[in-house]
Amino acid sequence: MTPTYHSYVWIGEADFDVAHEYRKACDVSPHAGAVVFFVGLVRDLYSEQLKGESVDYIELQHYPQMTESLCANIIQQAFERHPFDSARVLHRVGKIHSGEQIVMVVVASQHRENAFQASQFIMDYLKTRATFWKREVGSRGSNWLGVKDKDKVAAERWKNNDQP
Amino acid sequence: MIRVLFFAGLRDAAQTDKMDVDAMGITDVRSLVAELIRQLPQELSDALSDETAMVSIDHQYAGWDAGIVDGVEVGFLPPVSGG
Repeated sequence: MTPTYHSYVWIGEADFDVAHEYRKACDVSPHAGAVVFFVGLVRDLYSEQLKGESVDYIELQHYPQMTESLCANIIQQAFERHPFDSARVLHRVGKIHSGEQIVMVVVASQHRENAFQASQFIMDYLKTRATFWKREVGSRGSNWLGVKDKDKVAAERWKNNDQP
Repeated sequence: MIRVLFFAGLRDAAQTDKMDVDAMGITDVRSLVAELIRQLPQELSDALSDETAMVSIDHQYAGWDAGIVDGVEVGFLPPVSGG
């Protein structure tokens, strides 16, 4: 029998509730012995591109018809490398202020190693493949951010090895 | 018609989020870009000229050499920055 997993992708403007997502991950993964979750926050931003002024907020745009299927595909690739019972990806779009939650990945698996590895793989691929774009907005203007070199390196390392 | 979508900095450069282009004479991504550059602001030409943008055809990543047929949706996608 082909192994299966539970997958959930949510993209929207509202904030998400970490405790709720943890409970959902447990509910859909009754045989899991490990749940790993990662939450990304908007840092206290200070932009070189905006001539050193502080950033009021970031704004996230995405390509709705591509993003959900890309996220589902990233989850599938993670499962093929490090099988798990369930994976959830939540990503906010729109206007997000410093200190707010922006992204969450939850992976539940029988043992912790696969949950750690799969969640890291999903985050690395989300940052370099999924069709989201971030813009810093300050009082003097705004600046679109490109993919960072360190994120490219983080995603590349999965190409040759199963371990980062 | 070919539906063209722009995102992030390319949307700013094009000064529009989408446009429909007559498919006549358009066979691939580069011939589409040539037509867009003819119709849209110089800033878009500058932004697309180095071919660092990614391209999607009907919601799948595609290369700059990809062919284009009438009725598809083509996205011009700057380097992504989610997460």
